[in-house]
Amino acid sequence: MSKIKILSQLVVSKIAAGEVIERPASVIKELVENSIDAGASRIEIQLEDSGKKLIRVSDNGMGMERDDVELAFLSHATSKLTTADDIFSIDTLGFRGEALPSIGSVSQTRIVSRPRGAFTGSEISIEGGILQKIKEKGSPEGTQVDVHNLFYNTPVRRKFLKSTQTEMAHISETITRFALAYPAIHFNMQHNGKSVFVYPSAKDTRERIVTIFGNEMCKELISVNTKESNISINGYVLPPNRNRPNTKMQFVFLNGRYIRDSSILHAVNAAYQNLLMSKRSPIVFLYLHVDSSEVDVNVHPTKIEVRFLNAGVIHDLVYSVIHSALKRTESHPALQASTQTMNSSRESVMQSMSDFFSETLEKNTGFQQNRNRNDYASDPIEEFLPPKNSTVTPFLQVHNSYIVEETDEGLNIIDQHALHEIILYHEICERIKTSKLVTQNLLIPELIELTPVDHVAIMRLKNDLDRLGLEIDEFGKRTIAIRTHPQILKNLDYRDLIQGLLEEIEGNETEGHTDTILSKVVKILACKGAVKSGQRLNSQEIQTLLDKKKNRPMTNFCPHGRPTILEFRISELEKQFKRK
Amino acid sequence: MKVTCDSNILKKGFHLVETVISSSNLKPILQNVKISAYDNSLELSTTDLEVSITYRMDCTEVLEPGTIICSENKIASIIKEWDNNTIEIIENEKVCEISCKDDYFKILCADPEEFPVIPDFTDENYVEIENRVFASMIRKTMFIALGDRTKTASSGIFFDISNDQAKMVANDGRRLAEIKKKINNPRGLTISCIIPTKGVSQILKILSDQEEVIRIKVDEKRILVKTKSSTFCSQLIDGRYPDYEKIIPSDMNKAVTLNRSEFSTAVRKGAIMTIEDYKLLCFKFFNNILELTCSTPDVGESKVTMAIEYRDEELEIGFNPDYILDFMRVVDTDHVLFELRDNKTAGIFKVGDDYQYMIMPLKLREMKN
Repeated sequence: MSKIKILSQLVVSKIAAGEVIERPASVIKELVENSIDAGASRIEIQLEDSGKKLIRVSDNGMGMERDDVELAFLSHATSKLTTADDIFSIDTLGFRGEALPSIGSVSQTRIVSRPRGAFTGSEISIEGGILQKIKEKGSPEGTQVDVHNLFYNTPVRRKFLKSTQTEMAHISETITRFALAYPAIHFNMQHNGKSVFVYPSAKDTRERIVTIFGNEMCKELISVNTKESNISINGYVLPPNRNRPNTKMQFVFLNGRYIRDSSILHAVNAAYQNLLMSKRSPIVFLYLHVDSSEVDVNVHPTKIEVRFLNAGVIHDLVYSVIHSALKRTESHPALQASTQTMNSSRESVMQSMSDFFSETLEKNTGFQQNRNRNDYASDPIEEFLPPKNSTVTPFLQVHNSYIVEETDEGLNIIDQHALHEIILYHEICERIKTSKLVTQNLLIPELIELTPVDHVAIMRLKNDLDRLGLEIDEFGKRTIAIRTHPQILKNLDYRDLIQGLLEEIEGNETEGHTDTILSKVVKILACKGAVKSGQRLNSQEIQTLLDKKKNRPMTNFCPHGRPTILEFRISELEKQFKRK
Repeated sequence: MKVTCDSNILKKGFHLVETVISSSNLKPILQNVKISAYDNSLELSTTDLEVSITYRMDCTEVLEPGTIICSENKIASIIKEWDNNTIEIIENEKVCEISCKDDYFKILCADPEEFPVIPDFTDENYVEIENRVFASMIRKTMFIALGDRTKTASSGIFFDISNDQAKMVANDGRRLAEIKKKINNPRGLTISCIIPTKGVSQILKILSDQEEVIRIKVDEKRILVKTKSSTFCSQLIDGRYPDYEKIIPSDMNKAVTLNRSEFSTAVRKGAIMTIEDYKLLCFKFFNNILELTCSTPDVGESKVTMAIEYRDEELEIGFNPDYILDFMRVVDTDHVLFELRDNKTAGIFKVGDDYQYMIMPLKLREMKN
């Protein structure tokens, strides 16, 4: 018997579906693309159990005739291409005719559609790739696609779906891309009957960016605009002080389609070169319009990668338009505000440091706070005396960042930030373990506006943050309210902290491991609370830091794994100086 | 310019204006003082662009009017060396010559054009307040804003005048103080602004001990305060002050009148066993007794009791003792009223009808591992 068999149509379609349909977000991407191609001005997405149970996309587009509805689930059936040449000048989002059959082969799907002006609509269902009979059905104008039980017949794939939050984050990201590309279209999404977001029809891209990302960021948008022969680029970029640890906030659209093109992203990064710290990425919203004959979008089924005829020209154009826009706004007053916040957060850290140190000093020397003016602690001479119960080793702070300390065998060079960070880390951990953490209620909850994706990510940490004394609540769809904070970190910039947290957890699938998340959160708290490099410390503060190091094991590496102390032995020095 | 002036008076002037000199070297021109002589007075001005101070001295003999800009540090150091002497200052071709008795100094001056313009107090649309009232309002609110540098809108003091009432409010996210005073406001002006803490503490310095009426004027960007001898100007904080009145709880059902000094002592004793990152003092009110307890890991415990008049329902609530002591330091009456509801609601101290101080409670998080 021959070993090679022709696969059945059902198996083939399941395999094909795997390329296009990875998770609920990809179903939504395909369906919303169809709605947009159908000229819809209003698209509604309803989800149940993050799309695992139900994805419903309904639009008010042109709808489909009865015959078309019947054909829709056939492979490579599309209304968007007719001849092979058309494929090289594509103006619609979809064209391959793969989406609906692929979805149909891995779910229980139903389409109801009524063309504009027609009296009735038609309904057809498909289950695991097997078509049911078409029926007449009353429905509103436009098309509604219901996808039930995605991957019900491919259990392995279903098993690999992530938690609700992760899938919702992917879905939000997908919709955000469409919403940015088509500001005039009204989008709204519901999950388990609750509204997740509503993006009303906006008059331009800027208005849409404001709706999605909030006013605060959008105040600083710098518009970019250029046109050269068949290529036009417009959109917005943000000044370098607004940046991200990854490229997720780099939205590039080609003829209304979200793309990721390494050459364009390279041009973006090149334009920001020397303006950003390493490993930080700028935020851009770029809309490219290139004649469809000059670009090949048929590279990959998801169409996220494209090929340009003139990749070099586009690269240079993107670079020059962003570069000149940034140059133009270099001395913009908006930058002033940001330096002010930087200063204030620096000051706040300094303040908490000095509080911290002064109190530790009191503890070490047996002084108590609330001393009055006659107390000898306020005597200036007293302040220069070392704490009575500690042995003094000579030390020196260099470049306001490193502490050089003499040891019995030679000398240590200490990274002040890293050392303080690990000490704080252990201290906070201990307090959590001993369940002694004082939390301070806030007078007015601190409101922080986030993107929908970040919002979901933070709310996922609610319970962990709660354990650390940072109570957060949902406050509207995109805003969180911080109600309490751990007393141990009183002069913290909450916005900074939340941003740091998001960066730390981003791209990490640590679901279900509370302790991992908890330790990440503690890491951030420690990092934000520690003295910074470049901060001048007085000798008392250095002494306290060194004493803490002595009394505490496990301080040789900071929570991020970098060393805190470099040891130099006197014997090595002597060797170097050719004394031995 | 050519003037002669008494060294003691000059010393006092420099002592005041040097508080504004910025310590950073970013703008060297701001390290200078502007000295202007006209009619029979001498004016010293300094600014760090955020705040500016002008101090006027009358007992001067102006032989030749003029303006010079020179290093504040140098000229102040020179003047500090002489007591009860007459000092002569002569400016000639951007060189300032200072002589007194047998000593002689020459300071190179900067171009007056380079010095920032110091805002002037133009006499219109101002409000008059007694300096003591104003100073007391500042003292009773400023102590909160001093520690907090995290938030922009709250890191200043909210100053509001409407009809015949002046109001100051400060908060740091955890506590809030509000003081109201009746004033004369014949022009019916309304003022609503946020003054940065730095500016507020400078205002205190120019307010003299003598009884006097000062003038205050606020425009969109700044506040100007004029006393007999000085004019002070500070930039305002841009932004809207939080709608704080909404968060002051009104349905308090427990109240206790406390003797200020007894209560302060008790809290101070109770707080002995706290440390900076563990500042939790538990207040238990019951049966005419206030019991303060504290138990700090790795440090120790305390229990302090005080007799009070309290017959309401028993209540146990945690506060940061520092926040209470901060307030007790600025209270000048013998008794304060402390209103409470439950251990999640803020406690409010009230002094008379016009001063209240609200603090948010603390709680001990019990970890369940």
